Amino acid sequence: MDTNLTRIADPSVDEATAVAAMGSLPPGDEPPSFWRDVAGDPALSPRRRALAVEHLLARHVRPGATTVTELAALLGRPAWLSSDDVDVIPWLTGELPVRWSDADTYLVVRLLTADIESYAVYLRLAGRLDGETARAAVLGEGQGPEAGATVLELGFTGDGAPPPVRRDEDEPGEQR
Amino acid sequence: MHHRAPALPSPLPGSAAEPQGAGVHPESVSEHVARDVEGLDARRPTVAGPESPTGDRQPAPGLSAAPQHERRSAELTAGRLLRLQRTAGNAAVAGLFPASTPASGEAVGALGPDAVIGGEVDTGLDPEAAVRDGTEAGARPEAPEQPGVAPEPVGTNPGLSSSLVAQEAAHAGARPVHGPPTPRPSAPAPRGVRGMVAQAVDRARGGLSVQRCGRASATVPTLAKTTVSGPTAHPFGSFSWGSRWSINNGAGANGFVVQHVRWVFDVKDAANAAVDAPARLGIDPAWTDFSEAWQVRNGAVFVGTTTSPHSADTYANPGLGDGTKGSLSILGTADYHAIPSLPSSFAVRNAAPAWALPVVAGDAGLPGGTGALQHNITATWDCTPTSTDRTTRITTV
Repeated sequence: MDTNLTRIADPSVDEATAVAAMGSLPPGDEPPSFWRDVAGDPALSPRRRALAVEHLLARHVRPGATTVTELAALLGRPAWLSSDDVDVIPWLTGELPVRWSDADTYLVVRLLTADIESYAVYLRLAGRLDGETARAAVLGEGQGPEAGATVLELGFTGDGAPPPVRRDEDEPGEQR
Repeated sequence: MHHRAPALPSPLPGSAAEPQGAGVHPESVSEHVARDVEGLDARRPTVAGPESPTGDRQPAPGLSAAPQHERRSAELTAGRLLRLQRTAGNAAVAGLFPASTPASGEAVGALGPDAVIGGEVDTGLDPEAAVRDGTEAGARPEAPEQPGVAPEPVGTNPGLSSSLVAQEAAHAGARPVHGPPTPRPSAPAPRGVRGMVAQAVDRARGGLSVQRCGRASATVPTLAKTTVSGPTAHPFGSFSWGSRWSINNGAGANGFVVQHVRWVFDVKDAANAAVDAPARLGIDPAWTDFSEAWQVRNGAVFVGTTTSPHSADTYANPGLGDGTKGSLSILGTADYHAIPSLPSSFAVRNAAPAWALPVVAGDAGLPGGTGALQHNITATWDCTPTSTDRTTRITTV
């Protein structure tokens, strides 16, 4: 296994080293299961586990191609994710780490909220969908058109979070 | 939970006071400069364009025309510039001003229509335009931040002008003299009013320091906003409006944009009974008055303390539903604060109303802002059964 991956998954490795290893990983083909295992490991700190979820999605979701069903499969219906952790965002007076468009649907997945705050994944889904159905689809419970909607953008919060993931044509300044 | 912000360089730019030059009396210089600056400032409304309903500054009308009365304006402007040159030129002789030092990039970046004086002069007037048009049309419209969108005016402090001029004069007095004026290529002098303006501007370039007054010091980062989407109205009082923050004089600026936001509701049903709008929208009443923050790192604005570049502060409201009428306002007051971290009361909740931004209930009341901006939207509608006009109307500031 790659040295960085070993550091990330090893509970004896200090937090700073593990987080730095996450940020320095080159594009690679580590399996999604690697991140799922880290995210689900209670021997690791909540912060490291939350960051593992963020890196899982940042590295394995292809914006504009990955569907909600595929995203839910990446998450794998984990025990640490409850329905209370996923919310539809119908309005805001502030900003998301993904660009706002009246034509799309937005959800937030809060990570390990029982132990930490501030870590979350924001999803921008193509089209105006039924929010509750889309929410269920992210949790792996959905069917219908919402489950087939594509993920246009991902954004992350929390100290050490990866940068947002979006299509090249969706770079800032090109709001739809 | 304490909200940790990424480390910032220390010390913050502009945090240390500039030493004053020994044996000089900057106030006396500044008083002269201030009078002339105020004179120029007072002329600005005559060339400034109107604001659109969204607050965007429009190009000044009549800039290409040259009516007779405007020729007189040009003469007055030329006279003021000459007096200005004499005042600061004397100071240059006394070693107060660098005679030909080009203004720093930082200073140049700060200059605009209110500017007066310094090595490479930026008076806020475009001499070529003035000569070309023979008018005060040299007054230059501010460059938009990006094509198709115009920055909205920065908040001003009317009492700031004179004190800032004094500060800048003191600052200039501490600078070393860098040598003789840089020779400029000579060209045939235009005649008449055009010639006067051109010569005055050219003389001013020879030995004066430029500084802006009426807004902020040339080196003080200030907040600006630009509409990037909408405002768009939807049925039943729904709307969406995206505004982008930017920092004027932002090179090296580190701190936070903090906005105090209040939701104000006046919503009724067809029987004129009050509608609990927060409940209908799913807004926790405790969060209808709050402050939210964006971090500024080296002049760039980010979504809170994330690594996501700031795109738009969004006011988006899904509407109150059919059968309602009234108004809904979101009132924001935003300012830039050169602070290394937010008070520990701020936290990222990943929940309404600010979602990914660090937020605290109520007015954070941070001191030391550099020029507050209003950021308001109001929607009015009447979608009750007897209504003859179900249009949602929105106004913004």
